[in-house]
Amino acid sequence: MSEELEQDIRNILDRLDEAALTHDLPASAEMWSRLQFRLAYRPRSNRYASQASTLQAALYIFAFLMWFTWSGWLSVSLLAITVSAATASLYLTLHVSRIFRS
Amino acid sequence: MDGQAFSSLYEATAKPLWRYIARVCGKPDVADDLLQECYFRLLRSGRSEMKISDARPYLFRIATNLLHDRWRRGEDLSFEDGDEPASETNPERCLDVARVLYRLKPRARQLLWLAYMEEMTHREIADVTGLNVMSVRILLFRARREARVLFKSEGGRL
Repeated sequence: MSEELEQDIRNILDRLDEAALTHDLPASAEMWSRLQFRLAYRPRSNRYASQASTLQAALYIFAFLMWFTWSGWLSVSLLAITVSAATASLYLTLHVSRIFRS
Repeated sequence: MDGQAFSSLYEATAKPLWRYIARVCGKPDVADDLLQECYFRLLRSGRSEMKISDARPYLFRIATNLLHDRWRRGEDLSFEDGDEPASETNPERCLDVARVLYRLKPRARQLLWLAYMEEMTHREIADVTGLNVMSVRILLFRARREARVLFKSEGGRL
């Protein structure tokens, strides 16, 4: 790639950036105030929505498996596997939602 | 994070972050909204105590994700006159430059901006965009090639 092209690209971006110099951003105090308001009044129902939906799905699966494999007594191994799977899925969901939130 | 710490972070990062968002999406009003959303997500994530040097790439990463969300919804994919504020010193020339730049794909604009204006390394761009280093190298090469074709088609008057 020629030096000339590199310089052209830099120049074109520099020129375009001239427009940004005239743009006024909110002052930090104003932005801080807006953010505090948003943090204080964000919908609480959204906070645990992903975890709740995962638990719900895990419970449905658990109920289905219990109904499907019911043999007159509660299968401890099935219970252990399902609980560990639900825990793992909850941990995974928390991890994924944290990534997506950011 | 308290107001004082936020102020330091904001003063150090807001301008370059806004420029990045505005140049890539081409809409200053959208950039204003996304800028606020970036800081909101930073505070909400519980990682707001990190150092400014660490927070900066993290904020760029958030901004990139927000831009990608908009592209997935089909927004910011075309440039219309009036989207971009003209420079007070030379409005017509600035608009010409904007037209050429916005004929590039959003991804190409994004990579060129990070590489040339933010002077990020391939590794830093990879961290911000979520791509691997090899992909960044290849996509950046293509972006430069696209830019060269566009500049030539403009007859070198830029």
